[in-house]
Amino acid sequence: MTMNRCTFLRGVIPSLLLLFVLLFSIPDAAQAEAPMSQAEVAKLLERIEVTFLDTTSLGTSFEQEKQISFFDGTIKSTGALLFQHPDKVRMDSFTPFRTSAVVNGDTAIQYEFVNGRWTKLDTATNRMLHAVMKNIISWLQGRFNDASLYGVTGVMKSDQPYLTLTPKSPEYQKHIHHFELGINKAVNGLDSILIMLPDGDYTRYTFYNDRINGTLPSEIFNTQGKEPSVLPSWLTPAP
Amino acid sequence: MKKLKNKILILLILTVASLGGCCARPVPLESPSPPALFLDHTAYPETFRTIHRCTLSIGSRTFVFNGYLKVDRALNTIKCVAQSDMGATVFKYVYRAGNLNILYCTPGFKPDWIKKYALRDASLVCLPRSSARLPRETRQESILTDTRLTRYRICKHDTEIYTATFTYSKGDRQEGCHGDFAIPKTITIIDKSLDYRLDIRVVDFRCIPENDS
Repeated sequence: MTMNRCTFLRGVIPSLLLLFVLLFSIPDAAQAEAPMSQAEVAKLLERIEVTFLDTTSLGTSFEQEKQISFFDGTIKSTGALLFQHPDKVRMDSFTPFRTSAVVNGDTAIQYEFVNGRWTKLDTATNRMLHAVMKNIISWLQGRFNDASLYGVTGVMKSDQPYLTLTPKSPEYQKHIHHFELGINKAVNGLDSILIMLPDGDYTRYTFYNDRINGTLPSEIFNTQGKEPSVLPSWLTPAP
Repeated sequence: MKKLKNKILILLILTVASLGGCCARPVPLESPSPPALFLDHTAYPETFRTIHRCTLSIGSRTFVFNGYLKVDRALNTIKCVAQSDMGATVFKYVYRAGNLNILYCTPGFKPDWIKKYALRDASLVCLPRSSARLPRETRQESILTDTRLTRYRICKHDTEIYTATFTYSKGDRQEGCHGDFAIPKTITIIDKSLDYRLDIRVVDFRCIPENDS
């Protein structure tokens, strides 16, 4: 009898598990990722290059989520990103600590808020900062299609296109597994940037409250001051 | 001929893979490892995770990065990732009871620096005192204020060669912690022999229940 029950259960449990998988996969299926063909990706890239180039300025808040394998949960921080065509970009962190990185033409500078006051850092990482920020400028202008640097694939998630940029160089692949760029539904800006590292750790920026082609005060990109210029109030966090 | 090419390719890949991420195998440190700079006055919980905002100056060069550490003091273990603001990893290592396993370090950051400086300072801040010996002709001192460690230093003859200064904020409570722990708000480490200064701001500190560690 016991054996029969075991045999029965052995037959039923996998069926139940399968049923569960099917049931719970139905809602997922409705939101499933639909891979884009290479022709669709090429068409989207062409469209992006046109529409993104219309962006002369951008101000946006962001939430950064960081996943590190041995840390439980997600580490969150907040900040703002500003861009002024053609070569000014600024990224501020508000929480859990305050920093400001400004690129203005060929100059890159970083400020840290320590013990109640701003400190201007002449960092050895400024050159790297400059390179990274230039990359961001390039993306903000819709230039994703560097065939020598990245392989580009695309998926649709809930009617929103996502592009995955996978480094082609094996040397580059040791440091970055891929970038995933969430394109907004109007296809004129980015909703998110995911930086996936080879070991599975990642950093994701989700942008919100963005204003495209609004007026930005020029002094916010000043790199000469002892402290960063004050950001527009609509970008700063509530006190 | 094709088989030979494939073999050479596999050999190359294996060689590169073994080099990739600097060194994947644990590196035994010199006994009693790492430098003799441990403290026994920090009233830390046994297991915790913490986020450090770090500004490191070596000579005229300054680096800014975030340190994410998970520590088990009973097992003498530190897991550490240092990342830039943008999310790129600068270095990643696991130190477990005398063995350092460097999982990754970015080009331009020497693996030796992790062993000599990053681990030395993380151990000083996070781990209990070891039986490590100090270099000859040196002595160490700890200064406590209201039972909290505020200054630690190593002197050679009468000259300070290494100092760590700790500040605390009143009334801070750490998430998930049950007990009266003295967690510093800032830590400044100066190694005068190297013109080396590390400013750490502790931006997050959480105790980890023993079952989750």
